[in-house]
Amino acid sequence: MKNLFFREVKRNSKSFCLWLVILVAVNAFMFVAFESVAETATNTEAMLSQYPEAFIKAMSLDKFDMTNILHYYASRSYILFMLFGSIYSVMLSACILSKEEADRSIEFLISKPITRNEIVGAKYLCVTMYVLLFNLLFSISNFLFMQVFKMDSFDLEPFLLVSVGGFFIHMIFASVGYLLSVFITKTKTIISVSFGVIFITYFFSILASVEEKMSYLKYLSPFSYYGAEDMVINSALNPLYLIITIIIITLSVGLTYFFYSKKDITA
Amino acid sequence: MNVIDIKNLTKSYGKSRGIEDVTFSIEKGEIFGFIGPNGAGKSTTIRLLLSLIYPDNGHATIENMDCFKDSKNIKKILGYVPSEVNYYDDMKVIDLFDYSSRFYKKDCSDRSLVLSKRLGLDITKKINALSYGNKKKVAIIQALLHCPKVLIFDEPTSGLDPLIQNEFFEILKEEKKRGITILFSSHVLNEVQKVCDRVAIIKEGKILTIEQIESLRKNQFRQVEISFKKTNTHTSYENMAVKILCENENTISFLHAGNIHDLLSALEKDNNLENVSITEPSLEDVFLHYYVEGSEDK
Repeated sequence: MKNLFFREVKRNSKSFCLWLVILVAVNAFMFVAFESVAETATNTEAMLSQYPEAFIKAMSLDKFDMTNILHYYASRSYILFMLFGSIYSVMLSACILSKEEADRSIEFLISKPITRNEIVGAKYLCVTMYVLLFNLLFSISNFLFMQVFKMDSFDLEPFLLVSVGGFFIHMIFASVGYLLSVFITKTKTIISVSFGVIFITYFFSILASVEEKMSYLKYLSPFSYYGAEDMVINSALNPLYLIITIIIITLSVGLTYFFYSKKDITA
Repeated sequence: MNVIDIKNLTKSYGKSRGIEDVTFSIEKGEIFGFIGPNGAGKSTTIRLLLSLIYPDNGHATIENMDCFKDSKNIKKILGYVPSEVNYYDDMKVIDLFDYSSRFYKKDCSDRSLVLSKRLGLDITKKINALSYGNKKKVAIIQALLHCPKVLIFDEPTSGLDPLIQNEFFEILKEEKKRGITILFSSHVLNEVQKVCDRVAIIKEGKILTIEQIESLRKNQFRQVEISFKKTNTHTSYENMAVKILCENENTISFLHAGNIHDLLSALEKDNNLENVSITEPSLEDVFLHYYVEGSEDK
């Protein structure tokens, strides 16, 4: 199992570095613009009048204080980080298991002394490690950027909440993608399906925040569980969402073990 | 002692055939041929032994370990060459060998060098850049590296040139001397005859017959095609034929088994010949013979 784990760590290291560097760079560019945005924001109305009302509501722009660097981050880079981090996580998790079947290297792997459960375990461990590392390194760089570009000091607690929130979102998508990849083994198909899940749930989170009647949709979207507004402004995590997160992750991983150990590998 | 024991193994996939009630066992130190046309169920049986797929019915053991419950322990003593060889696109040959041997917690680098040299394989190349035949060599060496007790080969010789094939058969014979048990699947009767002790013939998912290779040799089949100058003088050949494949006014084509001299002397006496060709029969024809024979018994 160790052998497979280290092999996967090595195999996925390049894409990890690439994604991390790009997202850190984008975040840095966002912060460069912070000062000029903060200056305009002293006149809040002037700034808000630039955008249509629905957009303001969807992005909670009216609630953020743009002179606060943490609020600025929550309204800009955090959304990108949530989305693209999810895409990275899902691409990693959805391909790590199914690629063996798509490339038919699974015949090699299965002929080695390793059980199917160990295969599922080693690969999921690798996914968890990379998603964790991805969030950790991004958040550290984020913290450093904020120290450099801030105008006033910011609270540590909401910063930590935002950081943890991103990690949970990514782990949800990684786990669901992992489960889906047991059934969908064609690389192209599994990638399209998991991207679809990400974008649909993101759309749900926007609908839920814009339209009162559809606020129930927030339970279907991890993006709503860890929305920037709750964490940065109210400095709170809803325990219900935490429970849902844990249930989704445990269930996905458990079912992955269950189905993968039973499935016929016919590729 | 039976090393591989398969009882009433049945597997059907959706609409395609799979295998039905396959039963055979392989003794220690035996090279067991497993032949049949494409799609007959050879690979399905092998995939079951490897627990890539699970059976609907029946059971299989290797060295008294259950193939579906104790698969990990079986794999410690097993080497496998798949019919289609596919590896990781980022690996060199040597990387794959290292990766493979780490699963057994063994250092097999010496053996990999020796085997690569014998089969003429450059281990510094990327696997993806290799030709079909060279990939097959990678698979063969990878299966032999950790000195397994049981070897399962699914059409191992396809893509290998004749010289390398001979070297491969030499390696098999050496392994056999060391008491290794080998299941060798193929659709080429000829190569199975060369190395195997016994052979099972499978068709449409069912085992038709299991024979000692000696008895197969005795009625070695050949396909004879004769064309005549004048029409309809071939009745004498009809009696010799095990099975007539095709017959019309000027030609006859049939399967012949047994003593070649009988055939040759009959041909010599015949002055109505225009042309004769004697070739290796297609497996289908030989199978057909077994098939017909089997139903006549009933």
